Amino acid sequence: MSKDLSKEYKEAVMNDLPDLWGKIEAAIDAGEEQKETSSIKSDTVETVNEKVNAGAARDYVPAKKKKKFPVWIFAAIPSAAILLIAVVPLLFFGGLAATKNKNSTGTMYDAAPNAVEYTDAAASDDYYVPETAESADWENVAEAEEIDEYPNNDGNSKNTYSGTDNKSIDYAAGLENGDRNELTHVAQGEDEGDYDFGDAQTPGTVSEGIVKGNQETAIVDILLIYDDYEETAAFVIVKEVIGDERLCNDNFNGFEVGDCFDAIIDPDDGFEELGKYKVVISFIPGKDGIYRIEKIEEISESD
Amino acid sequence: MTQEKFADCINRIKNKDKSGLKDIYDEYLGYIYPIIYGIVNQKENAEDVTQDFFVKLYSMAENMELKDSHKTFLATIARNMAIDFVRKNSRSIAVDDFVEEGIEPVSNDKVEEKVIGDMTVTEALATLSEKERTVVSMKILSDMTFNEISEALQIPMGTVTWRYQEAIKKLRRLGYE
Repeated sequence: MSKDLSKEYKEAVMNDLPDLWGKIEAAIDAGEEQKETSSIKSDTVETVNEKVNAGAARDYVPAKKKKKFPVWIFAAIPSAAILLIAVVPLLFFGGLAATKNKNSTGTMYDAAPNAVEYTDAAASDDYYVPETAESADWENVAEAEEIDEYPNNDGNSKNTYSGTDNKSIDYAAGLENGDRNELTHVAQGEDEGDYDFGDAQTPGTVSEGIVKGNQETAIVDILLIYDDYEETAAFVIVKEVIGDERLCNDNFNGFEVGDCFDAIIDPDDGFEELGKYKVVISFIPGKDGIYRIEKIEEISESD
Repeated sequence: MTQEKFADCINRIKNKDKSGLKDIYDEYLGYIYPIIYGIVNQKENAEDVTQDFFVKLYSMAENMELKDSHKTFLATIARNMAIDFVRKNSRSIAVDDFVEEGIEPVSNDKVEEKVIGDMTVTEALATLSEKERTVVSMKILSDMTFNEISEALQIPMGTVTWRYQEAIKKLRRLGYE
């Protein structure tokens, strides 16, 4: 009498069903704990490095993040509105009044001493010549400073910088205008809008602080910490450095075998990320332990 | 479990209520585990993958949109995870599950001596080579087609069918159809 292989085999496996609920529950709890921890660490890290490196050849889709507005915005908007309502009409009417007064004799009377003073100054070499020299020097200094500030000097990059306040620098404009040699990273700080230049805080060294540090690095042992659906934070151990760092500043000596760091990886396949991959790692200056990693290809076991 | 009940479980998971997952676990462990076991073909690894399956189900519930049969959906995920596991651990999985469980693989010589009727399915399967047993498990437990097995193991389909036929021949001699 023949026996039913399929039926008996299934029954045999069913009779030996494991009780996994305890482990599953523990794994979920552990995952949620890690998620909370990693969400603090990887609050907002975003780089436009891929745009620069890959150029137009590859599409870069940055991780989607919730738009957060800084607190000062809520105070700034009403202030701006008040300014618009109160000051602009004042200026407008004030301007009208001034125009009317131009034709009045009073204005002519006021302007007369200035005219006399100017004539006197023009007549005197002691007064006029040194001022001209000083302003000429100042222009030279300003020009020299501009050159220092923008080693990759071109019209576009000049326009992107507007003073000593780092926050006012327009990186996007710099990138779009083809200023790719220097303006490569935007490391977003803890607060939205707080751009981090790494070590460079003075206008004269802005370009030194903005660094491209890319390597092709073989990594294994990716411990996944699920942050959210869009991002995956991972603890990465560098096992083998394949490529070289490029355009790194003095503070970054490249990755070494055995380096450990937290990182953001692109969650392509969820759990399938566990494995050995060839990746591009983008170093973000001033953010110790924060890197952006983009998977290129999986490295097979035989490699 | 009906589609509505499954959707209710998923909604509970979305609200971080693990009871939703527990209900799915209770209902489908017996369905999912054999599928994974059939592919992984090793008890401890099958348990690990099954555990990962439910953890993944919990994490992906938030963005889950159910359109087709949830049972097929679950089977597909389980199968893909198991295949993924096998591909990544193709070297280390060479350990014989039956040996691990304390069951001696039965050599072909000894088979003749055994009374055919007394052989359990586990003993009968132990007479197969590991490769044959993998194909049989995938076919029977995981309900995979030869083409799917071929893709999963990354071997030609002819090899898969040949191994399966050889295995069935051996099992037939032991009284299994």
